[in-house]
Amino acid sequence: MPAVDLDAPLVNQTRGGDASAFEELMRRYEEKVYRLAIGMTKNREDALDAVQDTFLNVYRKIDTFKGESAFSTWLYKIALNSVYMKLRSRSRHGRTEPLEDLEGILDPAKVRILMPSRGWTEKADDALLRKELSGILREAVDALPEEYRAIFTLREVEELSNQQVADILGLSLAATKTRLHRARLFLRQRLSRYLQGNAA
Amino acid sequence: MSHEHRSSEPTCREVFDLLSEFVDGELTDSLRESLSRHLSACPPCEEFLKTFQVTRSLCRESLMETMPDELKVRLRSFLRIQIQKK
Repeated sequence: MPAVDLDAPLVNQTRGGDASAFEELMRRYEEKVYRLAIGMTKNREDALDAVQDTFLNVYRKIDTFKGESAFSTWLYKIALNSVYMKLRSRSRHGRTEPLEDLEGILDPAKVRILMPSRGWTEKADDALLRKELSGILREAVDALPEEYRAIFTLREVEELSNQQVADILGLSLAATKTRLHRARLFLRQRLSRYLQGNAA
Repeated sequence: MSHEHRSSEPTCREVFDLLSEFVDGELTDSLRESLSRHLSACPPCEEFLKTFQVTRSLCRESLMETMPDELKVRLRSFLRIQIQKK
């Protein structure tokens, strides 16, 4: 937790019934929560539902926030629970890559297979290909198991620290780092497979 | 990744395992320096690191969505109604 939580004044004012302070907190976090929700659900309406649930719960439960973690950590925990509930209710959670595929990426026997061909990075820089690659990567992120997807989004897109991501997910720091590394390798492998498959 | 290295230096496999901590700046100074030495002497590992970083930056770009204004309006309207019910 940071030494000074920059959200603390707004949290205190919201507790005191100041609606404009709550609005300001919402403005600070709505884009971030939406990105997490859309990244996880891949559906605008589901993402909106999750964002609505998140802020309603934040408002209703703000008196239970004790300040033992950063406010943002507490909020992201609520957001992730809302996202998980939405995924459960729509039964989309089964649509994930088997974990074995991720574990296989760390198999030393496969390291050689993962070696890039020459020109891989140049192709990834090709402006005409970038839109296509973006689609490939979004599909690949969608194929990650939920927990890996959440870790990857919070770390790479929201740029939270590994420790904060671990706190949000209730995982050890070591487990968070391992999952993040596997997710990154998995996504790199998917991109590599596509680029090498399209080699001239 | 078959370069030979001195036994005190990390192997290609160890570099592979430590890449995330390397790019996140979470290694000790001495380990980071060892990895850097390995990477500058081992073209396959160096190339692997490049593609690892390119993937991260493309992913960030692809997932950086903004919340549409229409959804922000609906969010505020929903919360106003719910909070008034309280």
